[in-house]
Amino acid sequence: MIRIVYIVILVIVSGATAGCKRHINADDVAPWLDQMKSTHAAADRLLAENDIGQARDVLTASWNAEAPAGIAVADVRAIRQDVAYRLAELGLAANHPDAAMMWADRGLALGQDDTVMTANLLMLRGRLFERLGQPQKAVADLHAALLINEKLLARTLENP
Amino acid sequence: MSHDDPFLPASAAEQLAAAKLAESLQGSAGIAENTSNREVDDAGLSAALLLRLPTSLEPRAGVLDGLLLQFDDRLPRQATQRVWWKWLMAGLLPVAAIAMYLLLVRNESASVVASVLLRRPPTRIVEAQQLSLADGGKQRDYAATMTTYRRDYLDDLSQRYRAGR
Repeated sequence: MIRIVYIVILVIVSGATAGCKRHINADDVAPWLDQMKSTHAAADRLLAENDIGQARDVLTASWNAEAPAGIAVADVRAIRQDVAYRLAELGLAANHPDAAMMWADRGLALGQDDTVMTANLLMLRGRLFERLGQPQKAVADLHAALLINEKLLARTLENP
Repeated sequence: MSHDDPFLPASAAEQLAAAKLAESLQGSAGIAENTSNREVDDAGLSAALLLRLPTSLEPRAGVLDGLLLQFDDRLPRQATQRVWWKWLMAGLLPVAAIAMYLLLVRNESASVVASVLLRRPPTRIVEAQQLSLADGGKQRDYAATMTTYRRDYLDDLSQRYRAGR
């Protein structure tokens, strides 16, 4: 019984510590976001120069980069899903549907929110399924993307 | 005197039976002619096809031959109609089954059901919606749209974290 009480106290203390840590590390978030913005800008520049391999490397490195502890899980998910979407698009453009599917799956494995990033991944994976001759899966993903977009559109119209 | 009178010569009894059958078939044909879709009465057609005319029925043979020819003329058309309907049903039933499955079991919307049946996923609808969402439909290049959207999104997020959310 005493052991259970200790465990409960330990859980509560750990939660409180994590909360404090998140608050303390919030200052690290903005620089990390700036870094992500710079990474995307670099990838855009490389793609404009037709250096697809280098652009892919830059984006892959940003996918592997650890996020600061203070950032919300949903924000990390959106940012990583955007990176995964770009990498999947590169795979699709290079006619590597397997690579594109892998990145789309990786991105969506993080979870699904009502964001443009999730909708992008669903739409891209739907197109991949369509190309692979799996119309049922294609429609399921495209429909899921459509539903997210409807919600986003409604939200935008409510708060223009 | 009935047609099955045992004292009547066999040929005469056959003639009488054939004459009655001919009248019956003519009646069936008349009914069939009067129907809107010109369907041939199945029973009459079967009877006519199964009928074997005795060679001794010379006086009535002309009438029966004419009837048989009439039915024979209709036979290919009706056979074609039957095959057509079979193909139509064979095609429609699976489509109806898929539609019912998607609408009732999967609870999909009508547009998605139509897309599945037409094998045309609503890619364009989604893309158009993505575009209209991101930039009000002014910009056509989605990659460029996303570049702007991404930059604004990260800027906004960065500002919110700087402000302490």
